[in-house]
Amino acid sequence: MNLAFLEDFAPIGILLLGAAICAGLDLREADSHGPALGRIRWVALLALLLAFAASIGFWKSSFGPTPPDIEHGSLVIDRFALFFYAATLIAAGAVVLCGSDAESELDPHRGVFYLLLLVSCAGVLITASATDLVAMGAGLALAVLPMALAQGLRKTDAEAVRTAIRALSVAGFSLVAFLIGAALVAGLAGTTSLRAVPAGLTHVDPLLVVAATMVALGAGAQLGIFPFLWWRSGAGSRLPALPFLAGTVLGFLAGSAVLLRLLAGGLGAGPSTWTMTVAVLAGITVVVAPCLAWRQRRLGQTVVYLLIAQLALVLASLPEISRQGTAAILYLLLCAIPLAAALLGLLASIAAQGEGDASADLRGLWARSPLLAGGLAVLLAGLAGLPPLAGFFARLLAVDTALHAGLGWLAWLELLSAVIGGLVVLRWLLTLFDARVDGPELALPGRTAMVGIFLCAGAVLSFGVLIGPLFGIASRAGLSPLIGP
Amino acid sequence: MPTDLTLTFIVFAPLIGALIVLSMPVRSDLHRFRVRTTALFATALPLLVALYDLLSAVVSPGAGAIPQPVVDAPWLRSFFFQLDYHLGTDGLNLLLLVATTAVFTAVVLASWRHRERYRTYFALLLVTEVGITGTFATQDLGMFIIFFCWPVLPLGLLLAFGETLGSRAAARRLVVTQSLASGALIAGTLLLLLRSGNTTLNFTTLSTVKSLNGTPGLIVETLFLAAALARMGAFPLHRWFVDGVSVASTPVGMLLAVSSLPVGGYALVRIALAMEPNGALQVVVPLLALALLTLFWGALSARATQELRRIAANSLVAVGGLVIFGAATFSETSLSGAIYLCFAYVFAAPLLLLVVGAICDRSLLTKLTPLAGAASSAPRLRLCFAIAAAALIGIPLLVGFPGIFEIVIAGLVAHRFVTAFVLLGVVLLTTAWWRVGHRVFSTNPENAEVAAVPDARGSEFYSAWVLAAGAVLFGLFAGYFIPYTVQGTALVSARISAVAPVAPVKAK
Repeated sequence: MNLAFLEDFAPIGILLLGAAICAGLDLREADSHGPALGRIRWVALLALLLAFAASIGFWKSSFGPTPPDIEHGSLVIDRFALFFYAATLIAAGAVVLCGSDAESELDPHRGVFYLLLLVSCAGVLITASATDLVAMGAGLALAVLPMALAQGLRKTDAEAVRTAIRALSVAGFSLVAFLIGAALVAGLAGTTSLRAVPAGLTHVDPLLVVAATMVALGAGAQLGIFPFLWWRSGAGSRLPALPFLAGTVLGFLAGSAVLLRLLAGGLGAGPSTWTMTVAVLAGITVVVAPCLAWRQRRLGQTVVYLLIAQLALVLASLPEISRQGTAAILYLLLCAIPLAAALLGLLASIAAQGEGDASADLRGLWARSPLLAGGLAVLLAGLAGLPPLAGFFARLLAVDTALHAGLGWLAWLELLSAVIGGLVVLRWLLTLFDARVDGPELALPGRTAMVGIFLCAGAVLSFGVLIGPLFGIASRAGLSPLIGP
Repeated sequence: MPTDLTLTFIVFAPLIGALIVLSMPVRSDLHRFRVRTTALFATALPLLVALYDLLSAVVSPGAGAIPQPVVDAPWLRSFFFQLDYHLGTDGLNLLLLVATTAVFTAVVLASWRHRERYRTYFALLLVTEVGITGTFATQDLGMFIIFFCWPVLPLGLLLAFGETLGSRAAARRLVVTQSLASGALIAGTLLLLLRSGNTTLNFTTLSTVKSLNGTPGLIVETLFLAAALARMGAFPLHRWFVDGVSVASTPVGMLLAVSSLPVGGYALVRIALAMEPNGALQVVVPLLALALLTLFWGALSARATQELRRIAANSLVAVGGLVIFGAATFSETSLSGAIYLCFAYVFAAPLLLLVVGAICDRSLLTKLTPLAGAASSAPRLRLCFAIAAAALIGIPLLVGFPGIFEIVIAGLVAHRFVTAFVLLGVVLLTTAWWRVGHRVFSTNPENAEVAAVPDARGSEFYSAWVLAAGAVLFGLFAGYFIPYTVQGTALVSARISAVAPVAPVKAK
């Protein structure tokens, strides 16, 4: 019996095995709140680390002169997939570290959360590897639904459970939208294989626009594009911080992987009737999201809206179907993930101390907790795209990509979005540095969270300077056989 | 001998200083003294290195045309454009770079008695310096954009921290205007690359590629001009500057001055004219009109208003009109004059604002009428005011004279009629400053109830001394520096001449 295929599935297998161990530990210790409950986090981190190590083997071999693509019919482990493998596993690790201060609010379901997290990571990996519409749909469901479920784990809070049910419903709705779009594509092309889709789409069909719109909405919902941005921001919710953070970050990755594989890859080689629809959705989101951020009085929601505005640039860059366009999207993701993990992790840590994230709570934080406020200020500056931080380059590349795609109006909207985002961040910085100090002194995050936030903040600070090598990696990952005509 | 690391040190030493300052405690007076001393070192060291290492290049024969010293390393490849870490000094930027390092030292000295948000204030001040010196030092358009955008948020925060009436509104206006200016610069650059098919952002390469014709060239030029003029505070984009200076504390006002016209004027010549000469030729008349509007608007507003800080701010806006006129004349002499006037402004404008700020802060008065005779017994302030105002209207032997002289001489050859109006504007500007000087510094027995403003002393005096020394020395020895600047502007002028239907007249 040939078991070589097991090697190809090693990262996904390790994650699922880790999930099984987490489930076992949870079953054993859930009632007693025993010492194993505290160890589950480290089991999950170990699983993520081992899966990352297993991916490195593929990574190294795929960067040789003739990188091998390892086929499984509906899955492929190419450089594009490996990029997402690495990004997902590192992002999940960062989420676990940064959000560790908030994990106690999940008790006694901490083990269930880590189980769902690892399953969700496996889902993102499958989504990134999928070369078949059915596999992609399955992967996306596996990535999205566990995190939507995890948001309902704080069962003692009725409001949180209601919001989680709403999140689960919207996740289900977005998946249905994606599957309808995928079914239409399959029907039009006569195949579910993404490799064969371009050949099947020989003429311009109005139905293709509908299909692409449904796919863009279904996958874009994970990025929080219009009209899903209210849901993604968790507006008015009291969702548990750690699942919300994990769901946000993994959702960004899963949605981006689907959009790139299916739209830029699968449909990119066919008639480009879908590009304007996608550009319009992106255009609305890049303007609406920072405007909504301006209206918020809670920093958490402001941050999520600004992240959505930044992630909408993924959608905005899709119409430029080229290696550079794809690489720009991948670099943008690299920049957005540590920002999201560190900012939301810091806010989770503040919330864990019983302090709110409303502007009244954070006023004058600089005088009360300078390190905490300084960290928030640096991360917010990164979110605003202050040069030479990573966010600046991500925006710059997105604007150039839109211009190359012939979408000058979208480039202007992106610049407008940057200006509004800058104003929003300025207002929050003024709140943090306000001379009026009214509130308790806040402690720094716990040691584990501190390590995660420090690493993510380091990434935010250095990714701009390291744009050369990072973009090099992104452009190699962007040269997949599925990308480009 | 300049080394590759010289410019990197000059640009980024303040950033290291900012990080050190942020990590220092501020619990006692001794701690605070250490913080400001660190900030002083972080600004003075680049100044000393710049004076020692860079100014020697000025006397080298033929220097100024080619960037030297240079550090050039690839940064971003495999995208639609290439980005390089490329720093270098030539005739266009060297003097501005040196002057900026001097002004930041003066600003730290002027902030010696600052008490609020100690670490944040000095850290932001040092971070701002990186942005402005970087703008002057870079030889790559991509890096220029980065440094151009860099100081917007730090300046906005510094302005808002003033917490005077209207400071937040002024900060918001600054951030919006400068963000839009940065956006225009980014959009113009990307359009230029897209239309020209060029991928490198190197200044030298960009100034040799074929200029865009017709509408694309006009659009790119308009975007570049919008960015440069908004940063300069030219009419009608001057409100951020006037509002900012009128509500800012004295050192922050000085920062606003050094980050406005010098950076904008430099961007006007280096980017708007050199990168897109075809487009520049299409906007000569609007540029001349804008120059006159800015000059007259600033001068008349300064003449009409009663608020002392607003008078200073408006009169500084008017100086921008002279720079625009010099740039719009296109000859190497006028361009050299525009750059030299920007250089003069770097010393004179902060000096003027320092004096005005000292008078307003000590008297707790802002209006001109109640201030009559208030500074009559302050000879140092009077001297500094005289030097600053005289430098900015081109009185001989001061740093502003060579710039304005070159602009007027070249203007008389190319646009005689407009030059007459420009001279009229300079006269108006002179009357505005004469009014201030006469009112505030001369003895007025009718206003005896106003307490006399004490004279400049301590760190404030040293700050003024640094700026006044620059304004006098670079005026006295302008003969050494003008040829160097002309070498730099000759390339820009030659590029415009190459695409012009009739070559612009070269003034002798």
